[in-house]
Amino acid sequence: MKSKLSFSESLGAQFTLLNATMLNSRILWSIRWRWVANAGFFLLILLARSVDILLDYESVWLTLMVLAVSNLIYQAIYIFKKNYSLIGELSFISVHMLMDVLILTWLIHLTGGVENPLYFFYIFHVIISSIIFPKNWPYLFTTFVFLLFNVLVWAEFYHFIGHNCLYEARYHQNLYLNILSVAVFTTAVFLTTHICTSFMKLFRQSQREVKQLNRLLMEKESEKSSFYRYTSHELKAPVVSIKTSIDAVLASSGNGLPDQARRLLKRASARAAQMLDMLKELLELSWEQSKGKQTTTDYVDVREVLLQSVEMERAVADSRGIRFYTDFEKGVPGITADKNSLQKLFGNIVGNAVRYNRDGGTIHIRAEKKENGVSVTVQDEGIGIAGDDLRKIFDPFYRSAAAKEFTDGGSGLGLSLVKQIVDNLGGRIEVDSAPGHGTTFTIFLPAESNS
Amino acid sequence: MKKKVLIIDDDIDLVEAMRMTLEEAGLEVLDAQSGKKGEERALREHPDLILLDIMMGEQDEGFHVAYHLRNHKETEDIPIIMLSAVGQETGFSFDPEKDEAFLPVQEFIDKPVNPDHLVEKVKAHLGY
Repeated sequence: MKSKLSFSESLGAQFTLLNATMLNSRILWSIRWRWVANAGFFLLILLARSVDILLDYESVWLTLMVLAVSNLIYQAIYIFKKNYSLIGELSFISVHMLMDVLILTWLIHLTGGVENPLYFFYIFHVIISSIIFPKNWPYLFTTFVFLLFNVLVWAEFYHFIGHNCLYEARYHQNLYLNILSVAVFTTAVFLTTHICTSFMKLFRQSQREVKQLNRLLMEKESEKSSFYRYTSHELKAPVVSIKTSIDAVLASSGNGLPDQARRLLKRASARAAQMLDMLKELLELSWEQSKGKQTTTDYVDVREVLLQSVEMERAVADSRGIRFYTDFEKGVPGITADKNSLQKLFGNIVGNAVRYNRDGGTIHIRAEKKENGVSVTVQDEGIGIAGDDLRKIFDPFYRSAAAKEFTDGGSGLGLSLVKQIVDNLGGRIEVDSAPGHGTTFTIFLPAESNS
Repeated sequence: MKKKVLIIDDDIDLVEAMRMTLEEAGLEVLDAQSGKKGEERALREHPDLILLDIMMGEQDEGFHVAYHLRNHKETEDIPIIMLSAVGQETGFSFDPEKDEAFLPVQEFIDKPVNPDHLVEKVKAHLGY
């Protein structure tokens, strides 16, 4: 989908790191540093006065006042301006920077001209402009700085304007020193501009590439997920047909069939059911993957979902003498989540706790209030998980040898789904287990998943 | 007279399997392999109940069929049971009580459906 971008938007799209918000924060930053510079000059001038350097102090104070007042104006504009655009911010910052170098030039003039190494400070402005302005615009600014400095030096040299002596050396009258200063200055500022803009161009380009790759990756990811979903559906239909046919035969004429034939058909039906379960879980997993960190407005009570999961497993648990113990702390907050996903999440965890438990074992389910969410612990007395397997249990289709030996049911997708849902909710899952000593899953879910 | 059940589903094997179960239960079974044919057949033969698959040809053809049947004088009173292979896993699950205004069908059943369960549901809506 290609929408029409405004000029400033297209400029911003072209130059990552060049957008109104970023420039806006830069402006605040430059205002702060301008206060620092103002104070620094003030102290410096006080120092110069205390050692009786002869300067036009009144003009200097006035210039510093102008700098302070203009900074106050910038600050006021910054505070009261409600909406800002890229072009607006660019113009605003250009005005700042032009004013800054003008004032700096004037201050250099008032404090000795070429005799004052203060002209090193132009470098800061050149670097900042190279970072901020796009394309080759920084060269324009640098040329402006170059012209200002030249005008200052040669106007003083040819007596178009007066000279304020900092030392008695009268360096400004020395043609060779002036040429040397101007030449070194020019080389320094243009080289700095070149280095900075080259680096920024490279930097912006790689930012753009990263952004592009990221977008491509997201597209691929969602393509993959919809492929998954579509495939699962297509795979499901024939198995549904197979199972329905076998069940229909068994129901209508099963009693007339030889025992062995009936047993085989029943097993075929069970295998078809198993395949449907796997497809269902695969579908659920790809659904959660494609859904990603979607925002939801459901407000879910975790305890309610946990109790539902327990009820779902109650019949199987009872038949194997497995008992549930629930311990829900008072004031456990509700969380913002998709209820369906939470049901799948805890359904899987509680289901596993029953499936892999020993007959007559117990399952302890605790829900605790945490600083900004809920922590749920599900502890069983089952077969446990060996250290090597612990790292892999969240991998799709992975089932440990011990789990396979213990029961044939299970697709190996349940815990992948669990992990995906926890990730989508911005939570954390931890597992603590040892073979023969049961397994404890601890799941932390933040109250607000979208923050 | 035997009660008539119309199965609208594009999967002929599934239709045949359900036919076996329903005929065994003493019902007459009609079928149609597309939404359009299903609508025509319903108008012509006035079945006592319709089993309707959601996912045919077009992604959600079943919904359109249900909507047309409900909005036609001749078929508006025929109970409809919708069959779906799209369960909760895709995030769109249906609750006839909640969605009745928008989808006036009697029930949703997830495929595959067990024969006893199918007969039980069909008979319940036929008033046995």
